[in-house]
Amino acid sequence: MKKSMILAAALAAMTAGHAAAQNYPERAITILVPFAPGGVVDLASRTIGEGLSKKWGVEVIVENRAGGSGFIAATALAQSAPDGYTLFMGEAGTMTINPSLFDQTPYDAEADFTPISTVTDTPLILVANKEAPFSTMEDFLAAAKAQPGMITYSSAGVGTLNHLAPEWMALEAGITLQHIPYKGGRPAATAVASGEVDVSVVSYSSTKPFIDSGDVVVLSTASGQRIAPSPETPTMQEAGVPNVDTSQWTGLMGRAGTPEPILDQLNAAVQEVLADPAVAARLSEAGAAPFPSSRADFQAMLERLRGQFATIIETADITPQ
Amino acid sequence: MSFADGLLLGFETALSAQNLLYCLLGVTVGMVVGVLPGIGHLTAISLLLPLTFHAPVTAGLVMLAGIYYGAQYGGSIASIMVNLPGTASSAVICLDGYPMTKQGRAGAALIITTLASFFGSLVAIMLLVALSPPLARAALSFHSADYFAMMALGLVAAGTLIQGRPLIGVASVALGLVFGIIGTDTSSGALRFTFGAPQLFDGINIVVVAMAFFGVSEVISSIGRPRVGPAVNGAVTLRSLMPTRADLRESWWPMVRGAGVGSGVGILPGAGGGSMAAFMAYAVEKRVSRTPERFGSGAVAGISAPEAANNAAAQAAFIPTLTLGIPGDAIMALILGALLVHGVTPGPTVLAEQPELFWGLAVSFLIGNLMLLVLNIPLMQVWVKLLQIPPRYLFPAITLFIAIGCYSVANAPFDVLMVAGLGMAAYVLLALGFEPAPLLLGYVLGPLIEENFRRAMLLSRGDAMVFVERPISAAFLAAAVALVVWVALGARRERTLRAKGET
Repeated sequence: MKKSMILAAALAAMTAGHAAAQNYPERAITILVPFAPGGVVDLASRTIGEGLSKKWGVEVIVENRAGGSGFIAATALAQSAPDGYTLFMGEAGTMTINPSLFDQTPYDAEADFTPISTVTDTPLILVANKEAPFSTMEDFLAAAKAQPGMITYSSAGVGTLNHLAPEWMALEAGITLQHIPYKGGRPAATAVASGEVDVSVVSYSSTKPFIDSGDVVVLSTASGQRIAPSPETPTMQEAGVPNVDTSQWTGLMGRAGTPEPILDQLNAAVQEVLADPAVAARLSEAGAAPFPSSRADFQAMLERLRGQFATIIETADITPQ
Repeated sequence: MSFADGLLLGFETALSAQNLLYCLLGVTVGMVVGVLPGIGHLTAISLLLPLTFHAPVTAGLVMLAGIYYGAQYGGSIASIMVNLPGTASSAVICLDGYPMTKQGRAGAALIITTLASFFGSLVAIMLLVALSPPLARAALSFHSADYFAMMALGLVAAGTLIQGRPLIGVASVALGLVFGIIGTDTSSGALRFTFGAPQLFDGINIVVVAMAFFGVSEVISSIGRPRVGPAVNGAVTLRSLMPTRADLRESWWPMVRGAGVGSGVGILPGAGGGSMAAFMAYAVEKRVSRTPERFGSGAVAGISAPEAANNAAAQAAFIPTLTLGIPGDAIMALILGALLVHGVTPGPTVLAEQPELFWGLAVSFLIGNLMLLVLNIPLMQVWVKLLQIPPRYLFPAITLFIAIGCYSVANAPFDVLMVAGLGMAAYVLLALGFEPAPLLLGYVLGPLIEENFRRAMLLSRGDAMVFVERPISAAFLAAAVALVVWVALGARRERTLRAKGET
């Protein structure tokens, strides 16, 4: 404990001589989670929390404040002091989709939050029911062009990433699809497997049982690169749908105005936690991979996605009301 | 996964130290709340629900289920000893159990109900492991229209099968549906009845609703109720526990029939679970008996059949909950809520994806029932003593736990205020005659049924014929219509009979 305190102090002193940052952290840190326990956002928070706690010898409290499309937890962060003791586990919804989806949010994702580091990444894939008249991305796009609005896709709900990702794809490919919302990723994946809908953009992990049983076929991935568990699957960009590059990520956020040295210190600590092979193994059980990044890269990713989702939400006319 | 592999995995899971401990905790709590009139298993489950959010999903479920079937054992003790049902499902045990006590045969009655409980559970557990895998496979081809029809039948059954008062049952379901509407609409994302409060965007938490209707309101109404001590203090000695050979012989067939009735009622969504099963089993026994006049004055069949039935129903209710994701009664609705919090979406994929959950749970039922058998017989004296805990300790403690439990779900002070307000409202509603169980079922099934209805319509592009074109959907809807007609005819016959009697 003493040693780690000295280390932390040394690190803080090294990066810059900010007064408040000198002794960070000297008391318990809280990570606010916008979801209930269980699920990848909660797992990411607990993994980082345990790592920071072990490294710095301070208590890290993971506080689940589920509900209200993440409004409750995000608002709590927005009202906290910019001292690095209250953090937030962000994901696509609260940080990049809500600002465009809702007319009004009680927090400002851009002005109230500052990125620290991305934490986990869960790839999204486009799957089709085995009975569907297409089994490749090429055939799918041709079929969708031939009969606009007739192909159905399932999502985990209005305004979720698996709603916006297919809309993004449709926008770039010049096709129209029929949206069928479900409640959660698992029912959305089951709907493709049972043939109730034709396709879905879902996380690889939630569809794996159906890929293994042959009930669904994988058409493409929504990520910019091919994904490790299914290297033969082309990306959407390779299959002729430009620009689409998205996945289910989580990322640690702080209150805007937190001293730079503290943010740097947190970023370095997150990188260290994610480099642990045991952490990677634990995350992969939930279908996620470690996703370390610099603060600048995280910021750039947020800006790119916010702009993109604003366009999609406006073009596809998606409203929560 | 083969049947043998499944059982092996089940034993491995259920026999882990952690799961054994949770199982013991669950059945013990179940026994206690079952014995205590005033707090039922629903109260106990809603109280302990938040606790399970911090335990692994299998352990949490093992405990919640333990409370459920444990209370079925305990409930009959209060019925037999003091003529006050510990739980709704053991109300019918009073009819013949209490007369047996007055005849000095309380011990025999207690043992017979324990054995009947065990037997009923055993039958339903076998049914659970035999039926669930094929049902889950079949359910993979169920579409939204089919789910809609199944839930419609469930809601109709929950409303109309209220003993003799179908209209108030329907009203209770409808009120539950209204509570369920609050929050964000799945299909359009529209916010309904949230009054701009972000705390209501996801609707009212199930723990809050359950604790308001089964916790707070129970405490308030219990305060005014007079206390009754055991009728025959210290009358239960180990020797008096032994049933006669004739008792056992008379119990066998009623137990078998009771287990059958209970399993059937348990599988049907919305049929009312334990209490419905117990009443139906009692009615069946009275009809098949050669000496129906003995019922009500201490007939052994009058306690063994309903007791086997309510336990069988408690176990069989897990079949639709786990394989289809459709809860059959209020308790299963809470269990469903617990699963959802853990990120497990109950449905056809649970068996394949979480085999240790399903098989572990099934085997834990067996172990839990054995524990209850062992706990019950030597500890009968202790359970009887429990009936004497003064309410001035009991009720404040429950109220405190309700507040802690509600707060801990989302660390939201708002939820504590909510349970207080809703609890008051619940007390008034229940005093007016509303039924809490159909209400909770309406609350849970409401959003699901709406979601599936709208999705089915979206998929069929607005063609409502989809509900009759799909055979599964058509069959369930036909059953729902038949049920309404049957209940309406029954009510009309009763009215004409009464009218004739008056003239």
